[in-house]
Amino acid sequence: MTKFQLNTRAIEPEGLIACPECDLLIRKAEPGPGVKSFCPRCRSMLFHVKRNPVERTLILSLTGLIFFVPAMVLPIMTLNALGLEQSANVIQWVSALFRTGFHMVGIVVLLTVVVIPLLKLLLLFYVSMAIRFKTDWHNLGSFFRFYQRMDEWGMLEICMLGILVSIIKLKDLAQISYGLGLFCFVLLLTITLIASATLDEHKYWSLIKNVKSFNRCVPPEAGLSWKKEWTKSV
Amino acid sequence: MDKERLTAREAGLLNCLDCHMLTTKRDGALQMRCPHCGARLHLRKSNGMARTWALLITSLILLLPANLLPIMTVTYLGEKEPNTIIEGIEHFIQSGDYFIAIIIFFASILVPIFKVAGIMLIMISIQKRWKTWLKHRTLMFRIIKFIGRWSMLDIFVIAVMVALVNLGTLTSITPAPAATYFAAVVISTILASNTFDTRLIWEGA
Repeated sequence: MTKFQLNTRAIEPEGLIACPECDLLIRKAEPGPGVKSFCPRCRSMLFHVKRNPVERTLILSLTGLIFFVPAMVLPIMTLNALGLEQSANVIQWVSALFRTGFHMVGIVVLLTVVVIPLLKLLLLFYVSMAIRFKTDWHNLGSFFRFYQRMDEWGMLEICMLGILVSIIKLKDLAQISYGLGLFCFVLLLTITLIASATLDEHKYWSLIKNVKSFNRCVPPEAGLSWKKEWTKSV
Repeated sequence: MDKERLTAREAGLLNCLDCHMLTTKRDGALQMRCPHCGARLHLRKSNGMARTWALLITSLILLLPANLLPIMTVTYLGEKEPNTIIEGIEHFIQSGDYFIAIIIFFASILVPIFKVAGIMLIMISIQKRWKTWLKHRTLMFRIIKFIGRWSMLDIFVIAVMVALVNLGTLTSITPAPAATYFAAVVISTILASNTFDTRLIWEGA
């Protein structure tokens, strides 16, 4: 069967999904909770159905938000050497980079450790609240999409490894004492990781679609071209 | 059609990469939006190959200053000692912290180089229309994408050390030019793996 014939054949998208990594069409199944399904051709993960994704994500994002400010403001650790003392919190890391003239690096650290993790938690909380209580809130789809795009740029876990490496680097140089900030930081990091693990993107999208207000952010002529429909001259 | 595998493109369907819903492609429509979530739809990520090549070449160029210039300067009792990434790893080996030396070596040197080389290999394989190792190439890309972010490790180590080791005349640590280049390498490699479309691997086969 040639591609031309396939093109003329009207295939309805109902009940089908396509693998995001190899474009293979697959019949949609409705697996139960905890089930992972993989693309038969390229083995990428298509679905991972989670248990109570909305409630869990809602609670976790709220908990994360509570720990966010202390994790950023309380001192992570204190360095002691010959009676001199220096402690620093996350905000001071950024300001130290700015002070020494490395603005670009400072901005990267500010975004990946402070701004994006905060945005991710806020967006998750907002979207989960709206879905859970079926309220009429604006731009749920756009916000959730923004969350998906931001996801990999939040680098709390990498930052944690950075903290560990610098502890080992500094342990011979001076005495280190750990602050309450480190405790909050570890909690924030753990909660963020669990929140993204319990999040079920497929479920969220189908629930977002169900929330009535969702119709607002899709123009009525959705599916058509957004600028101007061009027709081929034959 | 029963045995033959059909892709969304062949079926005239567009897959929304945000909400994973399929939409029938309209003839002649230049730009379509997903009717389910409102995202812009593309058959393949737009200008995928060109953008990925541009970002890969950028990161290759940036890798040179990132590895050759000093990444931080340690000042001890007024004496300045600039350190490159490799010198930092040597310090760890000398002080016996082999585990940390291996982690830093992986995150700062091996991963960026392997990432650039790996994506380049996949891109060349697509342009040469290789029809083998499809599954393995996709898996390789998945691994590259997963580990890429961890190269940022060195930047965070610098951020922590600079803020903490600031004890006036006794000792202080300041970043050095390679820090900026290194951050730029990591960001451009992450962007390169984001603009690359794995569906292109399967297209020619």
